[in-house]
Amino acid sequence: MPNGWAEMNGKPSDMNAFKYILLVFFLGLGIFCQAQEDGEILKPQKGIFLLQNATLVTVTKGILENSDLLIADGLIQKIGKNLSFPDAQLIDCTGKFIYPGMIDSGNRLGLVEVNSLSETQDFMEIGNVTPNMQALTAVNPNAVAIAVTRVNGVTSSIALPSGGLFPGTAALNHLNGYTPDQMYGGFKGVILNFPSSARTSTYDTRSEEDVQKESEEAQKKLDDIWEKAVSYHRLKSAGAMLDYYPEMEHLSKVIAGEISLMIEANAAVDIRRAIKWVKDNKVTAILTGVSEGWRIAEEIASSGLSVIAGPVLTIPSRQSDRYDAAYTNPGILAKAGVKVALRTNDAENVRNLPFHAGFAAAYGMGKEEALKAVTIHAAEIFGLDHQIGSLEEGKMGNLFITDGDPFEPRTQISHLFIQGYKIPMTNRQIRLYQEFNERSPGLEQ
Amino acid sequence: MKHIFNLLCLLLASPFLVVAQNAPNRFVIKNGTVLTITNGTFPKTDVWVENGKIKQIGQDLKVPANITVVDASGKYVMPGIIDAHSHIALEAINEATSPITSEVWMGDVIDPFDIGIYRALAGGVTVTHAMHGSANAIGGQNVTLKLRYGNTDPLALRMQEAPRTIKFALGENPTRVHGRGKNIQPRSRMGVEAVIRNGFEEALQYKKVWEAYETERKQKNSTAVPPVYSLRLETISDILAGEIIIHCHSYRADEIYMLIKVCREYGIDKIVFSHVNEGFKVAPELAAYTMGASIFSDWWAYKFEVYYSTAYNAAVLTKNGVLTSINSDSGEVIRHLYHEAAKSQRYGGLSDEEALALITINPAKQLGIDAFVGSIEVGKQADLVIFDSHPLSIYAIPQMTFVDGIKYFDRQSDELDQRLKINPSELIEPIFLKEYDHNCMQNVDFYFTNFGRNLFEHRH
Amino acid sequence: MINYFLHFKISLLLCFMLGRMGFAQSDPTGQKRITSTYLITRVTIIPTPGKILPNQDILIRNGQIVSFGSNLPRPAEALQIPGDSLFAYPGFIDMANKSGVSAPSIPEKPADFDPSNPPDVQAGIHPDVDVLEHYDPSHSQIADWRKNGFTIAHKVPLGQGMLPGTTGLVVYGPPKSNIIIRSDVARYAKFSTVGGMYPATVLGVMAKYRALFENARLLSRHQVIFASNQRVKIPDTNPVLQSLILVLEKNKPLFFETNSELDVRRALSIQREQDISVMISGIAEGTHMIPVIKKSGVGVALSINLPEENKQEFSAEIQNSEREEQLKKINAAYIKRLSAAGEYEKAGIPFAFTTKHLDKDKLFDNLRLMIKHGLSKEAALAALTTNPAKILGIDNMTGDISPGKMANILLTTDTLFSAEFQIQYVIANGYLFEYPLKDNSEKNGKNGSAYWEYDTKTSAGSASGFFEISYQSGTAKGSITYDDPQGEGKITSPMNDLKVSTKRITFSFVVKTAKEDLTVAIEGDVSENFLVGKMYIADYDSFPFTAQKTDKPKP
Repeated sequence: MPNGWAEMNGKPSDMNAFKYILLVFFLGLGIFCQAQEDGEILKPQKGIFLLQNATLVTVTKGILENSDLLIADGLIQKIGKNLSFPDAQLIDCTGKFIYPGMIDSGNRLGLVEVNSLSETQDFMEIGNVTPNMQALTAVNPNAVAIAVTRVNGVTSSIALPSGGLFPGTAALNHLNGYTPDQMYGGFKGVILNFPSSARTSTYDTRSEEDVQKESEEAQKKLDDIWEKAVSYHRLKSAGAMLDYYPEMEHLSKVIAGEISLMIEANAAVDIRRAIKWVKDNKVTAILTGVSEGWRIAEEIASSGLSVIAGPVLTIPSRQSDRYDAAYTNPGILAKAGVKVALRTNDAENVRNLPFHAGFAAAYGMGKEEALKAVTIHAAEIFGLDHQIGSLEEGKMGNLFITDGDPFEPRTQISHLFIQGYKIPMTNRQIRLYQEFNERSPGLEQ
Repeated sequence: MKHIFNLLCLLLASPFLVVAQNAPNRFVIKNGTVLTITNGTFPKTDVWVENGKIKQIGQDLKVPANITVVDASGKYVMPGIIDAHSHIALEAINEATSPITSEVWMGDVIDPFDIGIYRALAGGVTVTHAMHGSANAIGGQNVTLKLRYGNTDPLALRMQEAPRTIKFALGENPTRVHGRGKNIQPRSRMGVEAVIRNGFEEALQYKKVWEAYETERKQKNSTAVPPVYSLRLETISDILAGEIIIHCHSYRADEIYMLIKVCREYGIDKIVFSHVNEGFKVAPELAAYTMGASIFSDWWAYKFEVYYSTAYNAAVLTKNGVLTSINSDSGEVIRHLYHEAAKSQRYGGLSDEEALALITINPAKQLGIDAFVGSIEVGKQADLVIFDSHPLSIYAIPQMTFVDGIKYFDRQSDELDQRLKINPSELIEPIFLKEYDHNCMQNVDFYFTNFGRNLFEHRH
Repeated sequence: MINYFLHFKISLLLCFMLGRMGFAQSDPTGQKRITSTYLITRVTIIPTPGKILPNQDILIRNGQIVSFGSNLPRPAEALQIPGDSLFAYPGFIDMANKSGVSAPSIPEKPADFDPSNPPDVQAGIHPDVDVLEHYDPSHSQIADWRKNGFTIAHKVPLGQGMLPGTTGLVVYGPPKSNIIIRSDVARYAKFSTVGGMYPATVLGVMAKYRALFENARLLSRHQVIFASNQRVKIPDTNPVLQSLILVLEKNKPLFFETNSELDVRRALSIQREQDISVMISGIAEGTHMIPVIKKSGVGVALSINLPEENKQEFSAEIQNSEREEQLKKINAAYIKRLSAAGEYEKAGIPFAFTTKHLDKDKLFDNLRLMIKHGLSKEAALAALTTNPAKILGIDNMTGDISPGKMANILLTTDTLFSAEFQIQYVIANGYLFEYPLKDNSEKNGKNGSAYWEYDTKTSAGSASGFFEISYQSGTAKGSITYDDPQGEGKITSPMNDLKVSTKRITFSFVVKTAKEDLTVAIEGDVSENFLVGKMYIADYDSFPFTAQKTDKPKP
């Protein structure tokens, strides 16, 4: 069976896998009908899993052939050869590969259900300075797209609010759980949309002067707000009793270094201004977007700032740019010495993260670096490299099992673990496939 | 890309030079892995091109001594990619003012200067189906283009051999534009059916009136006076006569089924459903009664009618015998249709042949041009792409793209700025962080000023 | 200098009584002219581009050029305009202009208005509207265009839609005079739309053209049948189609306004498909369009409007090398745009010019830019005179200076397009307009003098001498010294009509001989310290004349 959901090569002792096989059997005979079959509702399963005889692509410790990996208590407990553990569910991985779960460093997954329906859009608030808006609050743990995303090996994702100058606070989530707190992965970042001298889209018909003027006004506004936040923080630190001011309260946490700052800048000149702003204001920050980073890669590298680049599968920012400017951008930045993570900036199709990485790899980044950009580099940028981003003992059980290179479309993913949970390899898209592939009744009336 | 560049230099020097067609196009692509699509895959095989056509395919071909050789050792040669649903190279997309606009023709608005053409060539695309948008139940007539970038004559891009096609659209877009936007039918999927049926019936009446007139006119001493002419109804008559292939924007299974029924009633079998996100639900009907489905690889959830989609659509359709293609409907996706086709391997495990057919011979059939393009066969037009690795691999990079045996893209000699036209009044070239061009709902913005900005976003 | 006869200052262009002379002979306002006969004397005529006739008189009567030649008899009723040192050019013809034109009033939308099927008039389809019924000849812009040399304009209607009305030819004479040369010249055709109704885009516009023409054909067929047999259905009255039937019969052309080369292609498609005559205006780009336009043989008007040169500077933080690269390309496109007219000339396309979108103060600057980039002065003049006359079918009445043609003439202080030429008089339809000259002679307040030694060769042999020009408070005065024709020694004569610019010197002087007083005129182009020009001796001939500026020899 070539499709993902049916790739469950579990051993007979693996009851769940057995149920899957039953399911396949029923489907194949076309007698899957009205009754709720036992096992139809598949839930994430916590337990002790021993993944045996796999090729481990650890990312940080090289490639380990014929090795075993033990998951228990949500963590990778042990990596080695010929491991055994009593009561562990055994998963034979002969001929298969295990990768650390991929991290999408920026998107709207779970913040929107149906993009055209404003009732389902929860990524944008009213106001220009709203750093206190928490993406984590609005991520719907049961969004249909989450299950669609994770079966491609994406286990973690940064939910980005959007909107004004400080649109809100992004959060890293693991793509399993029923409440935000169960999903929350320990990183938050206040987003700053750095004043842009670029047009937002081809619908943006402002004159060049207006663009510049608005950019300067926004820059002034930013400086004013920031000065205020610095004052707020200074007074508060000195023990002052201040009026309730959630926006400043939140920014002061950035100044205190409690929350990271994610600065979105895309045009080369804006990136350059952002770097200078970061230096002048002595804040720690991550650059995001950076679509014209390739123009000033060396400067970005010498700034020491890390970059979240992407989407990779997008058109160049200018008509005169080389056609592959967006494909080559992450590679050029990485080669210049910038630590690069990748993002899809998508919502329903965050599942394409491995393909964005694959294009970046093909267009100069190289497979190894591209893999890091969706695993360990992202983890490092978010200060979570002790938890995620590679296959190492003690790290979170975020990983997946494949029959090949996860960036290759033809590759099938058979198992997925998030926070040590074995995640069912199904979702609505797969269930629709199961229902309609051999429709009955067929053509007859 | 040197070829175009040199050509432009010449053009600038001499305004009388006619573009491209005179360029040498006699060459052999040697030792590539040739993915013929229709006749299998052959390693270390040569493809000999002469006068814009494929002259011979085989191993160690005996070619003239002085022929240009393109070394494809270790590389893959496939037919030019065909996008059955595109809006690049067009100045206008939607005549959104009437629920039926069958009289308009996209050939009137071909924009040969669109940089999107070059970007598509760089993704191995050689033919696009330049379509009217999806604002109207019966939209405009489309035009099939060959991406002969560098020509300034818009009609030089037209694929002369291609039959006529027309755009239909069902569901949210026409009901939003006309019903919710202007308070005229259609406001619902019921109305969409009614508008189409009315159009068909009016066309039948029109035809009858004209036939009666022509008959009467032939009689001796006839004083028959001519009826009113309607290019709109004339075109619909041609659809009913089977002279035009319908390409229908559609998403939901019910609306697809509706149009299949209507078409069967009127004896129309030349119909391709486009997008057709819920095509998997009516795959047997699509297989039996239509020219198939032209779909997205994995787009969904950008509007309500695509919420219940599946990326396994290509697999279900293909396995049910529906002629299936993957299209872009986007100036971005068109640059990597080979990758979109590859997704059908993750979602449903199509074979290499099945996956590549989705972007070559299958769309060629749906556009009625499979006798000329869509596969590597002797006598077919030399629309070819050379990849450095297998085109279904994520790491594949198109190296060269040929249209009619003329090289329009070569990654090795690709010039940075490929614009054909530069606006002398522009101050600095604008930067766009997102492109909304080239989509189904272009030119309908003015109806939505009261609906809020996000209506621009769901654009397919 | 000519204040002893009546002329029309711009400020006085208010009330003219011509046409009522038959019954109203008095004019208490004192503005009626006393005669319609003028004699321009001793002027250098450029009757058509490329031809030069020095020292000519031009006789104008009742709005027509009666004759020209040397020493014409001087009718008693003629007011004389001394043309010495002036140049007479045919008045300019503007191939498409909207100044003074207002939009026709469009009826209110009907209650049952359906945007998908609006009445033609709502959708901007009213080709039967006469532009001249919406034209105000006293609009201030008309006087401005006339001041810039335009005497005739092809007026195009205002209106948002595709067929806003007919075009008409007017002369820029006094508003109350007879200004209409020809109404209903062509149907103005565009690719733009009213918006919000069908057709809204160029897609719908193209389809609508096809449908309109086909139905005009059918209506015409119906009318023919009805004409011979009244027992058939009466043909519909449809002014729109009726207006287009004339186009199909090639009685009237479509006059297309275009905004891009793709518009030009579309106009040519319609010409081909419908087999009609078209003219195309507003061409601004696309040198590669030249073979296409040439092959089509349609009359075309290029836009004189040019983009601004890009002189943008970038702040240091913007990557300069890349921006400079971009600028280079933008500037190359700019130069290409400036060269377009010259390219059309080289290809032998007899194009006209339109002032569409043109700021009138940029007219001559832009023309000079085109000339600097390959357009010959002759072709530029032709594009403003003979070519549009031909394209518009009025070359038998105007466009050049010859007997019988309309008296549409400019008198300039120097050759057209030269750096400092000025238009001193415009004669439009026989009416004289004078414009005060700006002082261009060596900047005001600059005093000084120049000493020139000259050589000339006449049929009688070579001669030499010197002349001196002195400047005082912006006025130039001069004298010339030459061998006494009647004996020994030198004679010094004062210069008349002296005009000095950095590039050109013209003057005349009178030589007394036994038989008569001979007027000798000198004109020459100055480049640094050298003057190369001609000496015209009345009734004889012209002779080469060169001079060199040197230090005045110490006495």
